[in-house]
Amino acid sequence: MITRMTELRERLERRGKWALPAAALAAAAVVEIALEILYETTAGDREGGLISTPLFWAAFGAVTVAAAAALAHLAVRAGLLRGRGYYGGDEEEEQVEEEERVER
Amino acid sequence: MSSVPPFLIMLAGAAVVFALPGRLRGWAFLAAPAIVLAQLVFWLDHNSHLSVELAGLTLTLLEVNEFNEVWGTVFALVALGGGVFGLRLRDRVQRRCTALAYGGSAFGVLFAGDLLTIIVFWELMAVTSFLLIVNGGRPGSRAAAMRYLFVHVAGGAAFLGGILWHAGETGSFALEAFEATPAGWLALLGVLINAAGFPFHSWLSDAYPESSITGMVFLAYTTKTAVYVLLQLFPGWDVLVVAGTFTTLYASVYSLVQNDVRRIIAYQIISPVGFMTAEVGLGTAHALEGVAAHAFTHVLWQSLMVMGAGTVLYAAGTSKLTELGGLARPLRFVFVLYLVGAVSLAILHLQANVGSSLSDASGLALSLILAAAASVTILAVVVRIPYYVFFGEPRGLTLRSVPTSMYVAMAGAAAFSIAAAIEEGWLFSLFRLGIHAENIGLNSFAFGAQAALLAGVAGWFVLPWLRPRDGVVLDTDWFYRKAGPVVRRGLQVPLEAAFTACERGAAAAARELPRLAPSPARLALLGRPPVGVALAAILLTFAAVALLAWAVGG
Repeated sequence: MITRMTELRERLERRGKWALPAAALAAAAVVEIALEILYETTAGDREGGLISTPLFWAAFGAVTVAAAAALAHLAVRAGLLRGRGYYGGDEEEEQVEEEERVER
Repeated sequence: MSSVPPFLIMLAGAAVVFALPGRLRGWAFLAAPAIVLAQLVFWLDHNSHLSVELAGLTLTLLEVNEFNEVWGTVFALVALGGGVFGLRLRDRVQRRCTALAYGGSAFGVLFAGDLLTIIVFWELMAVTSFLLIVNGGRPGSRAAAMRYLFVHVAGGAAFLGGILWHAGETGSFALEAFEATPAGWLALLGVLINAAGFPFHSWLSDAYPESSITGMVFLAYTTKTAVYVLLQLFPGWDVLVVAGTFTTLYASVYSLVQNDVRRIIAYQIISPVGFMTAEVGLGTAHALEGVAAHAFTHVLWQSLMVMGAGTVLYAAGTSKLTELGGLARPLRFVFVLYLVGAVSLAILHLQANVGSSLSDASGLALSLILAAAASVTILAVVVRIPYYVFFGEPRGLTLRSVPTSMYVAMAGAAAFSIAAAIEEGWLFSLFRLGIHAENIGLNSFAFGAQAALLAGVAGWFVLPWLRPRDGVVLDTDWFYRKAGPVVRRGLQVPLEAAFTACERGAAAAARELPRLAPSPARLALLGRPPVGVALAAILLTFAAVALLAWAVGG
């Protein structure tokens, strides 16, 4: 399965820059519709308008994810990420890690 | 068995494991949590009780309610799962013993019926978890464990201070909700430190990844025990809604910039615990049942993800995203089992956040904030970790073969996770737990899965912004980690210098004194003076001192 997925991804990537994202969106849309049908067929009393629909929360989640990723990216660029020896006293740890890596 | 406290069984298990030869220890480890689980399901009920009298105080060592049986059951399950997970690992004996002792102290807190018993086991939990981290065998274990101990000693002192202050005011150590007095606030501070509430959360992401592969599975106890204590002592405190909401959002975003898989998961432990803290702050009966249900399922899924990350660390020798990649094929079962835990966690987190238990009580704004945190969880654990660990560029790592016991433990946890994600009520009735799970079921699963899927797809598109980088990410631990060297220079170094000077002075005096007075033994050997004379001199000195004392004492 994993091999087939990798082959599919490579084939899509060869077709052009947007082929893979477009295929991913299409697949997601199909699954979303299937889940929506499952949700509708198992739903009890529906109240609350738009806010009670899964689609609202799905769209909200997508926007949030993009915003959080942008925030994390900006935080790193603003200097949140420092070198491994930042706190000092880590030289010994680095040495042990390096030795372990060489051993491996 | 209905009046035996579970902590005793776990501590006895630790002693037995210590006494047994190496090859039997792994199997013996499983006995204690299995007995506790059976005890919770078949023998303990709400009438089970045990008290002892000690120095005029009544200590209640066993008291069962609808909440602690939920926590106890899932703790026993995790201990059992962790034991199976580490069955074939050549683990040090002290790791296995401290894991059982740590579990025992967590059970001690859960089933305690008074504040004094809680604080005793609370402190024991800090010590045993410290031992679990310090024996982690990772390069940074010792330093991280010392920082962990520093934070937890401070937290324990605050909690103890709050309890004693409260007892001074009320004259009672009874287990009842605190009033918003200074004593209550002090105790809350101590408990919030253990619950990893912002800004006291960074001990968790600092220390947990430095524990051993199996050690991190057990370390779920500290935060969840703190949530239980919050539920018992601080239900309905509004400040917890604010603190919990901010913690869950903050930790979710912070997990996106981490490079170590186990550190990402550590932040993803902080985030749902923040959510449970917010639920405790709401304080309604419905919200408190939600805390119990959420704690139960979260501990299961968290342990599955931790086991997945631990297996990667065991096989590849590293858990850093920058050093991993292309493991989907060689570790395909690990990938699938990890994904079950991650997807279940993400969907539950989302379901619970948009579920009626929160939106009824606190309105749409809180639901939106918590749903945002849940969406970010999806990005961190469902998209980012699998993408870089399993599908990233292969690094040519030589992988160790994974013991079957690790797969068995993960498969068991995955089975429970799937059951809990689809029909949580079934799981609760299986273990005879008296809480209701309303917002889980096929319909709710479809709701959560639909929302999670779109968040996941969006996450895949923004992955280039979240490329892993090796380094240290600054967090609130910056304050005490930076203060450490200053304190060392200002306090420890002068003290050490003073002690060294005293030691040198004493050594010099010991060298010089014999020169001032000849050795009595040598004098005796030379025959000057005779032994009798020397003895008489000593006796006379004693007599003179006694006479002087008598004269002064009158």
